[in-house]
Amino acid sequence: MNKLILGRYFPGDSPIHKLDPRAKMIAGIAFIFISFMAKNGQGLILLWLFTFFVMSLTKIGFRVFFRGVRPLIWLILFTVFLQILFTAGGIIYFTWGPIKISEFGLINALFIFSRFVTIIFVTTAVTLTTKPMELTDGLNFLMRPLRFLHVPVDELSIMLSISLRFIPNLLDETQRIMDAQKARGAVFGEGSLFRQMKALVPIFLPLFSGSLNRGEELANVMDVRGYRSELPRSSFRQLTWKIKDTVCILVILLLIAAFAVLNLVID
Amino acid sequence: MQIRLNQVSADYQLGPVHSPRVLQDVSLQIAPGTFTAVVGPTGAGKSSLLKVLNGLLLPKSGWAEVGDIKIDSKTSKKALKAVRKHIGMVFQFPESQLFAETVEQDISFGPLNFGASPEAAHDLAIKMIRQVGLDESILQQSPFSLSGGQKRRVAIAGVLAQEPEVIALDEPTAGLDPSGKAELMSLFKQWNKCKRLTVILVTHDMETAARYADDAVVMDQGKVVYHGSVRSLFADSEKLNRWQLDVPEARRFQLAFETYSGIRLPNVCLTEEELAEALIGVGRV
Repeated sequence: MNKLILGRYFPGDSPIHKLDPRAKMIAGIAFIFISFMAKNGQGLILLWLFTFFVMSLTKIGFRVFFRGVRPLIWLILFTVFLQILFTAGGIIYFTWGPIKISEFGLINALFIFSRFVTIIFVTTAVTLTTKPMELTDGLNFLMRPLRFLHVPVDELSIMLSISLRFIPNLLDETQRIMDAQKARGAVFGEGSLFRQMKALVPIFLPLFSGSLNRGEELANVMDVRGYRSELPRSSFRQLTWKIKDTVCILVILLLIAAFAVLNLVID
Repeated sequence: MQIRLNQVSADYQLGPVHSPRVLQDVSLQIAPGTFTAVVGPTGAGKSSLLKVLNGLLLPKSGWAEVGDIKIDSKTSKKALKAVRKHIGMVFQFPESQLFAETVEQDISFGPLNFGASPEAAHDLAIKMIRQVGLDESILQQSPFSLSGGQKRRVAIAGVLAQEPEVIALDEPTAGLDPSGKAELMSLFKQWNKCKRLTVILVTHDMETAARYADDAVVMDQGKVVYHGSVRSLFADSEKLNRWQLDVPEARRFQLAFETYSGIRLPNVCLTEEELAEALIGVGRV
């Protein structure tokens, strides 16, 4: 449980921390597309350079980022090996039945690995430096156009912020219930897979019932305090767009331009 | 069952939150068959102390000893399970640990984990549900359909069903009505007296501590600052002030009475009954 990095906020006052969440989120999403623009060696180097530049700007230790990759490492390795083993083309180094290790396969695998890891690093940089509440505020703003399609944007974002708000409580409660069941002789993480799954029932059932109760209580409290879903809501936290946010977007545009130029020149 | 703590220090880690030194060099010895109240301000380490006894929080340094099992930073899971068999732990709001389909299954959970046969667990469930003052018919109901007070009793029955020699209680009566509270506390007292169970009670309520406990442990900022009889603790108003502990009502009345009347009562009164007796005694003279 302590290993999960995604969605965790690391307090700090680096330049990245101070950016507007909207700027960070736009930049993060843009980066996902940018990573697909890297089509040659120079592009790949630029991709990595930019990633490490962002990571060092956050002033958070690289180890934290590496931990962020860990839960996805099997997925990454799986795709990488798929590429290596089943892509043909260029010089073929090794053949065994349908399996071919070829030049193109290796190059493709390198690109896919780089895309995966840089995307994870950069998006982790965004989530590590942005408070969950800021993230939902930013998301609310970015989803605003969807209102014209009658998507309940405000409701969705309040649902999201409430869920995020209760994650620490849930962790706390999980720990408490685990302790209580351990005190009654329950053992976790031992025996066959089936037994391990069965051992989780005494944790999850109380957790579920507790969450449902809390949800109902919260709904009542919100009602009592005058929450109405159909009315427009003002926000206590106001997002302000500053010059550095514009700079951030400009840097991203510059990066796009650089990739475009690289692709044109080398082709 | 003898309980000893020797210079135990412990840290607490939950997610990214690290609380250093929740317990600092705690040395403590609790004799078998005693009823000990652990009191002190919030965050003093009272609950952590209980967790150390139960092996849920392992000492960073020092060791604890329950019976002849030693708990330190390297104790094996198996030894911890043996410790937990001997120490029944009732957490704050224990009703949140109920999970099974029927009350009987929930009460049997502990005994089955500790190796009781299904028949023995069934007998224990019947015995325990009666002990906590509930009707046998409740055994086949879902624990989620019960009232708050009933859930609390079922949860406590579940802990007692593992037949511990020590029960560690963390605010067992929080949120109960006064009569439920008194019933539950006298139940614990009765077990303590008749079955020679060691009871360790963490509480904020000085009335409860004064009325039911023999010994008191006062904790402050992770340290044990007092361990002695409840009566001598409440006799010392200066100390109580220093540790911000409440004075039980009867004792407060006694102090005011002594100041205004100039008459000193012969002993420190902790309950209304004692106070009434002392006052009658003084009146007769």
